[in-house]
Amino acid sequence: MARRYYVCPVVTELQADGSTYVYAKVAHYVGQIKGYVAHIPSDPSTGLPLRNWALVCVEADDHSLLLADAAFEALPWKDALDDALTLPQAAKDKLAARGIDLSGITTMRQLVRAIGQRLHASFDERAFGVSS
Amino acid sequence: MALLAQDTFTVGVDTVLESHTPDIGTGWSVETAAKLTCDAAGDYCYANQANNTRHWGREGTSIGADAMDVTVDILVNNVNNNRFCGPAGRMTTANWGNQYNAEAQGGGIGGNVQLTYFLFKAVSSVRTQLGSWADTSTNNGASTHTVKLEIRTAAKKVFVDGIERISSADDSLAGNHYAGLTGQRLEAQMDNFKSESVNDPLPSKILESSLLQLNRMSEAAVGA
Repeated sequence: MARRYYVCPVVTELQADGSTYVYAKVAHYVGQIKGYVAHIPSDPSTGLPLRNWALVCVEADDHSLLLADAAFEALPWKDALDDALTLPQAAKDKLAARGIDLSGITTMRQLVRAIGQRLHASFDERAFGVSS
Repeated sequence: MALLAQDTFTVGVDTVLESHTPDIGTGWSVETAAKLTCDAAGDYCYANQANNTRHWGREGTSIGADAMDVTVDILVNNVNNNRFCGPAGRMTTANWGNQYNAEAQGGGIGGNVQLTYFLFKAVSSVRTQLGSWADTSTNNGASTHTVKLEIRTAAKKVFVDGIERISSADDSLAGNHYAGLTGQRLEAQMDNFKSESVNDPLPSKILESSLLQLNRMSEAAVGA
């Protein structure tokens, strides 16, 4: 079992009963992965997602389906959050385009925190995970 | 930790949830009347409908704080994923469109029921799936499991049989202090509901306490 982090689209669906249902696109792969958690902060007045993308943490034996899905931006694979990180320029460009401040980031933990806090300032990576 | 409500759903005859008195607590409100039933033969609560409509129940005791633990034993021995049930927290008495909930959902194939657990939030009636965890052990749906929804300011966690499975950093719905349950279809059974209040010290309070302790140690050292 391996854990990886991704940035993926948030889907907002109008249901037949008139209600609105929101999920990260990784939910399409439930049944093929062990589990996931998505950070999708909501507008407190409307309940709608604040952004159209989410940070997700996925546990799976095999990540090839997600890695093959062009809608997913995989973050570099690391054994541990505190491992040193060198981001490829292409990944830097994509994250910067989302308004994520990458200055001074040297570990996976700092990157995950920066992405999560771009979604909502209170994000804490220590409270964000799923069991294998 | 203080136990504020508890219900074993023990009844002499089948009783709709809103007419049933919990072992400890105030009583139940339901979103739609007569859709959740306490079963006399099995002493459990279930949605008494054979259609795909989710039903909500809310226990009337205020937790008195945002932090809470809500626990329900579940049995979903069914391969269809439209059978599910579980605990809910940070509910409000004002409506049914704001809460966190955890649920166990049926799945697998005949003879090997394998449950998937989910964490959801609903804000202003917009429902958001926050995470899932699949139990891939053989035929785990055939036995009862304890699902706990642990709600703190910093994290919303789903525990299955005492083990943390999903942890979300989401924090919405502060000020909603009620707990309850949700279920869909006959085959999703709930038992041993509990809602508990907990201490959730704010980081500033922890820091204040630590500084106070350091100050006392410093004063003691100077005094020595």
